[in-house]
Amino acid sequence: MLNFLKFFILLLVIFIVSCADNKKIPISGADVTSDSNQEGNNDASDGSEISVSDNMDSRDKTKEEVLVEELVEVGDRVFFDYDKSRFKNEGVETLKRQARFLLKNKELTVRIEGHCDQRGTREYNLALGERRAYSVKNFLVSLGVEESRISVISYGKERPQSLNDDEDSWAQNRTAITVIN
Amino acid sequence: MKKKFIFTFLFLFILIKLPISNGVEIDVTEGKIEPLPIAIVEFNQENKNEDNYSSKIQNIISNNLGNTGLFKILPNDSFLQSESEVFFQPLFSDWKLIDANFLVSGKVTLENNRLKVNFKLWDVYQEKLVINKNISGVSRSDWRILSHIISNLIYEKITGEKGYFDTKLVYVAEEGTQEKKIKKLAIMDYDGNNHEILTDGNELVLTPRFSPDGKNIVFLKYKNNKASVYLMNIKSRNTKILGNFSGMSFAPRFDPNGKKIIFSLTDRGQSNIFIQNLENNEKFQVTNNKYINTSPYFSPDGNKIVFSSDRAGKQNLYIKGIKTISSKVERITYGKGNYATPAWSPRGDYIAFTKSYRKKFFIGLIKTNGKGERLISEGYLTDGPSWSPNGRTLVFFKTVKNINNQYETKLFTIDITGNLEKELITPNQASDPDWGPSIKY
Repeated sequence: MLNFLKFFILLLVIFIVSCADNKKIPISGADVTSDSNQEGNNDASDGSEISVSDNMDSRDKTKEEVLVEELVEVGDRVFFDYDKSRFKNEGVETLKRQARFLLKNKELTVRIEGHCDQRGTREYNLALGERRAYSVKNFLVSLGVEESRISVISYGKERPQSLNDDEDSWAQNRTAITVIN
Repeated sequence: MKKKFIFTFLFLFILIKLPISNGVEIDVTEGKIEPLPIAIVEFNQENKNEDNYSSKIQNIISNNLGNTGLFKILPNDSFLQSESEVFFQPLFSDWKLIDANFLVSGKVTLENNRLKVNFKLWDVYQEKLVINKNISGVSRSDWRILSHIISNLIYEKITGEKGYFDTKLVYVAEEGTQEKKIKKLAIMDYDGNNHEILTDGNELVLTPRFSPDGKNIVFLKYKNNKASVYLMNIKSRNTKILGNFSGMSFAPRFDPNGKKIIFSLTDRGQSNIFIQNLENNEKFQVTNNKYINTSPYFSPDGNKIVFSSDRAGKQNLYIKGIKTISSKVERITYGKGNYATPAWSPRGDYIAFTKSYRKKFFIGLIKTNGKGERLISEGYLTDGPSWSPNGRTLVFFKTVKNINNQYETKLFTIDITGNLEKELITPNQASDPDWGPSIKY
C-alpha cells in the first residue's frame, strides 16, 4: 500500500515537473514512468502548469523532491543481520546504484542514518548504528563518491521503521538509510 | 512473646544488618524478605485547621518505608492506643498485640511559618526508646523534605544503611505515539513527587546522568543531525556542548569528583572511550581499538572504570585502571549472551548490568572479580540499571504490555536480593533513569 502510494506520488511529481519544463527535464533512472504519466494525467495539466510556473520556490522544491524520489527508486537503504555491521549481500547492488546516482548528481550531499533493532541496549545500539552507517559510507567512497559529501549519524534504536516484536520487524529496523541533506 | 523477640532479632541480624552488629554485611544471596511490621502513628498537632501536617508527615514516612519493601506498614485502624497517649508513653503490650516490631510517633508545631518536629522511634519488643529527636526551623513549604529526613533517620536506625528518601531521579519522559515518540528530560523526587520537565521535546535527548552533587546533568542530544554530549545546570537550565568532536559523542557519565566526563566517541565507525577534564578541557583516551567500547562507568574511588566492549566477538564487561594509559584490561563476564550498560555499586562490591540472551533480557549483578553472577530481574528490553545512593536498590527500565496489548516503557525499582520489584509511577512512559545523590540542605 505504502509502495503504491510512493509510486503514485512519484508519478505526480514527475508529471508536474515535466509539464513545467516542457517535458525536457532529464529524469535519470525513472524512465519506467515517463510514458504512462503523459497519458494518464492530461486532465490535470492546466492547473498544475500555472501554479508551478508561477512559483519558482515550489519549482525548486519539486526538483529536490524528484531527487529524493529518485533515490528511493534507486534504493535508499540496505539491511543488516542481527548485531552485524556489514550490510547484507543484496545491499551491494543497491549501493552501486546509489553511487551512480551520487556521481551523477554532484551537487548533492547525503547523510547515512544507521539504525538497529530494539534488542540491544540504548548505548550499544548507538555505537552499532554508527558502525553500520560507516560501513555504507566506506563502500560508497570505495565506488568513487567523495568522502566529504557523506556524513553519518546513528539513531540506534530511536527511529524504528516497524514497532512489532517479530523477526520481520527487527529485520526492517536493522538498516542504514541514505538521506539527501 | 520471648520467642517472638528472638525471631525478630534473628530476622534483623540476617537480613538487614543491625547497626550494633559491626562488620556484618548484607548477604545479597538471601532469599525472600519478610517485611518488618512497623506502626507509624499520626503525629500530634495542636492547630490542625490551618494545615494538617500531622497526617501528611505520617503518610510520607509510611510511603517511604513501605516503598523499600523491607517494612510492613500497619494500618491506622489496627492501632489500640491514641496518638497523644503513644507520644507520651506507649503501652507496649497493645502494640505487641498487633505485632508492631517498631513504633513511630511525633509532634509537629507550626510557629511563624516554621515547622518544629519532635519524633520518637520505639523498639516494641525491647520496650525501648531508640530515637528521640527534635528538628526545628524548617520552612513550612519544606514539609515533604522534613518527612523524608525523618524517614531517613528511622530507616538508618533500623537497617544500619543510609537512607535515600531525600533523593531525586532524572529520566527521559516519553510522550507521543509509538511511531513518533517525543523524548524530554525530566526530574522528580525519588517517590515521583515534584515532577518537572527540563527540555521542550524539539530535540531528541537520551541518557541523562547526575553530577555527584546533583546540581548538573550530562546527557546526549541530537541537534542539526548530530548526536553529542551536553551538560545542563538543573537550576538555571543553561546547556552547553561538551566539545565539538568530529564523531558522535555519547554514553556520558561524571567521575566521582564531578570534574570529568567519561564518554564514548566514534571515529570511522569505531567507538572508543575518552575522559574529558571539565576544568581545562584536556582529553584523555582510555581505549584504542577498532571495536565498540562504550557505557563506561567509574568505580566509587575513581581509579578504575567498567565498560562494555565487543572486542571478543560479543559484548562483555571489562574493568580497566585509568591512572595510566597502559593499565591492563580485565574481562569480568564469561557467561552466555551479551553483557552491557554496567553500573558500579556505590559500595564498590558489585556491578549491575543488562544482559540479553536468546530474546530474553535481564538485570544482573556480578562481583568486581567476575564471580557470583546473579540475574535479579527478567523482562522485555530491560536496560539501564542505576543504583540508589546506598547501593541497596536499583532503578531500571523495561517494556511491558498494557491492558490494550500495547508496549509501554516504564521505570522499575528492585532490591538487590532480587525481591520487591515494583513500578515507579511516572506521568508518562519513561526510560533511562539515573538515581541522584541525597540533596544537601
